[in-house]
Amino acid sequence: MKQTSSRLTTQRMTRLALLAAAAVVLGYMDGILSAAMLLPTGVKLGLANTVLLYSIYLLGPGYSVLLMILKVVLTGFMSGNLASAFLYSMGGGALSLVMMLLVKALGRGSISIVGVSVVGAVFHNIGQLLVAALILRTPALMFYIFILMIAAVITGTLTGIAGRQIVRVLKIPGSADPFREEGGGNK
Amino acid sequence: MAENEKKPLMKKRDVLIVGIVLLVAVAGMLAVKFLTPSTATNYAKIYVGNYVYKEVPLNENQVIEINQGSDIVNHVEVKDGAIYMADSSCPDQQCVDQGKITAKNYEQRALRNWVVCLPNQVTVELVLEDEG
Repeated sequence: MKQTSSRLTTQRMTRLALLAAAAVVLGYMDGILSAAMLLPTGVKLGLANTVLLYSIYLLGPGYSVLLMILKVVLTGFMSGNLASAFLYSMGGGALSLVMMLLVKALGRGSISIVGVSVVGAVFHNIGQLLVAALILRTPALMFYIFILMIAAVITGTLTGIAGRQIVRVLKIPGSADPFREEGGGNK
Repeated sequence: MAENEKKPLMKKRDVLIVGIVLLVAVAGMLAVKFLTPSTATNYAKIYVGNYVYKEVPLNENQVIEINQGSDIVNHVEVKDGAIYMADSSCPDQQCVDQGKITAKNYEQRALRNWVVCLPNQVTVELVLEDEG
């Protein structure tokens, strides 16, 4: 059934734990892959965002916020540099999630998961750079955002398409169609 | 799902979002590129002999005439952030050949941030105010 009650049942807790673990691992792989592909600094595939897309579409906003916080905190512990890494990814994660939820709600089905993903990717970069500019006190850093935005469009589209397939394949049995708002219109 | 094949990869609004983001990014990059040099107040000092004849900002295009009488005339031109000797009444024309100085190229020039016309005693010095 739909997530009408906000009570944290064992099933939900397990699901959340699994997703958080997947997000952390994907985020870690992301860093390795991006380095291996010689992507410029700050450009990442954003694989972990597929997990967040999954939770936005299948579990709702509450879960997604919890998941984002879990991912940020766990990644922060792993990096060994809790304070700054935490602030960077929190800035990116929070802004990204808020904008994705907003776009999905406002889009009312006229914006697909790919659009939501692109918005998430773009605002993840914006959030991180905002925090970086605040911490390092160098507003000049913000010019880099335009390069990152172009990269985010590409990576966001890719992860959005991947996310759509994941949501389709890993649909929770008995839950409502995650793409019901997008309707059956095939044009 | 059955409609798997029929559904397009992206909806119209998705493409719109992508378009807007790309537009903002390109506009932003262009803005950074074109606005940054003009906000910096680089200027040039034009000397005649030992004293400063005039100080000119590099962000507005103009031609400065330095007329010392007796047919000794130099024209210094400011164009798109570069300053150079456009023409000179001197015999050797070395000052004209010295070319343009800009905030970017002066480190590669032999005379760095100077254009010198020895016969007419006209010199141009680029002054960088970036790191103010």
